[in-house]
Amino acid sequence: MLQNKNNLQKTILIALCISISLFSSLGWSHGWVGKRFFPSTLATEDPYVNDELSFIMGRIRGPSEDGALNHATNLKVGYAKTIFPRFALSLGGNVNFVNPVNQDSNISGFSNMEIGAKYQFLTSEKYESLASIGLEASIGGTGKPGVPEANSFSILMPGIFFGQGFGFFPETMKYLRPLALTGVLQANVPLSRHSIEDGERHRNPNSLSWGATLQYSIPYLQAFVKDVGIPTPFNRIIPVVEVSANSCIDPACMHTTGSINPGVIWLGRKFQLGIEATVPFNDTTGRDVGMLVQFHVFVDDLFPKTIGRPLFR
Amino acid sequence: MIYLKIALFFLFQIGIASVQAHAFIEQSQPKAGEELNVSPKAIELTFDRNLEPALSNIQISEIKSKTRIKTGKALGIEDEPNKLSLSLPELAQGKYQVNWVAMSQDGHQTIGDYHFIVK
Repeated sequence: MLQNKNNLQKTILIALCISISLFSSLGWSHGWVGKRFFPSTLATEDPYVNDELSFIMGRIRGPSEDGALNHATNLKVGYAKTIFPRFALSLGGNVNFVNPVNQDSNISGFSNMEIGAKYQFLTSEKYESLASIGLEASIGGTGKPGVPEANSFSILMPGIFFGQGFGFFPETMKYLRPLALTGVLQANVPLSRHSIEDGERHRNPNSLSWGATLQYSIPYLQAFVKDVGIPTPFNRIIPVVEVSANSCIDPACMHTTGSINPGVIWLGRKFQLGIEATVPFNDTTGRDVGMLVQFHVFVDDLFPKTIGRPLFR
Repeated sequence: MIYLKIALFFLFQIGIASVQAHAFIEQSQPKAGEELNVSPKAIELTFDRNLEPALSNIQISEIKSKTRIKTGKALGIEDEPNKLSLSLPELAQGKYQVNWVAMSQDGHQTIGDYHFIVK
């Protein structure tokens, strides 16, 4: 079992590195609107459309659906490709490693594959505003049975995403101008109302995924408000607080789980690094603080004249 | 160890790749929000990418009167392709807004603005 886990981790590492380099020309970009830069956040979907390749690793200890306590490590991989300047298709998935506490057993493997489409219908440089609508689908049966989010049934996820910079604040509130807010509201609609798992019939509930981020851009402060002399490398950080939650809205399970994630994003010349703590906001979610780590390569800027741009202009 | 070597090999490819991208302003003279006792002779902007000076520009205006200050075009600096400079006439006391457009050499454009004060 341990040997299988090590082999899987090594395979993932190789795939990760190959993906970053070979697919780097298809890779990740970042959201500019006017003079506002929206970084790619760790737990909340971005409000813009872009060519992107993302890798985010999370680690948490918390209860599973049956109440058992688990250590869970998750690697989320996602790729989006612009077809038109404001329309993109996406493909993604998760690799999970779940170790029940005080047990030698573990579960590891891929969750269901996800595909999606997103259209950015609002872009305002003057008001530093972005908004997109999207439809994602988790394809049932494409993951390894027993792994979290590897359901036998498919789920449709229509959603709306927004981003708003606060550069419009008056001179008397100029130190609030580096603030920005992003948010997401997404429905999760199972295509099968019931499923059989472990020989038992389960009801598959509808739920809402929602979240928001509040960001304070030090680069924005230094460049456009007041250069307060913050030195390199700290002049390229964006402190952020994210809220990420899921609310089950089916009569059989009216509860919400989620976390508040304080952290920081650092903007390099070639890549972006992010790290956040994930703090559960209720006992249903768990009691332990987890972590998210992001490594994000600015590869559409590396290959802007080839496949780092929309297929059709 | 072999896996570490493979990882380092591929990650190295990222490091040696071309770094042209959106030009992010790193430094400005005068600085954003700065209060000066004397009129500056020029505005100089430093970016983290090399620029196309012909497609980049700086403009300055006096905020209270909403009057644009007549200047020439912003120029690149020889041997420092990541900088843009605009010579200024003598500025009277007042608050000024600088608007800039930066085109990086790969065709990505960024814009920005900031204020400074001549006391």
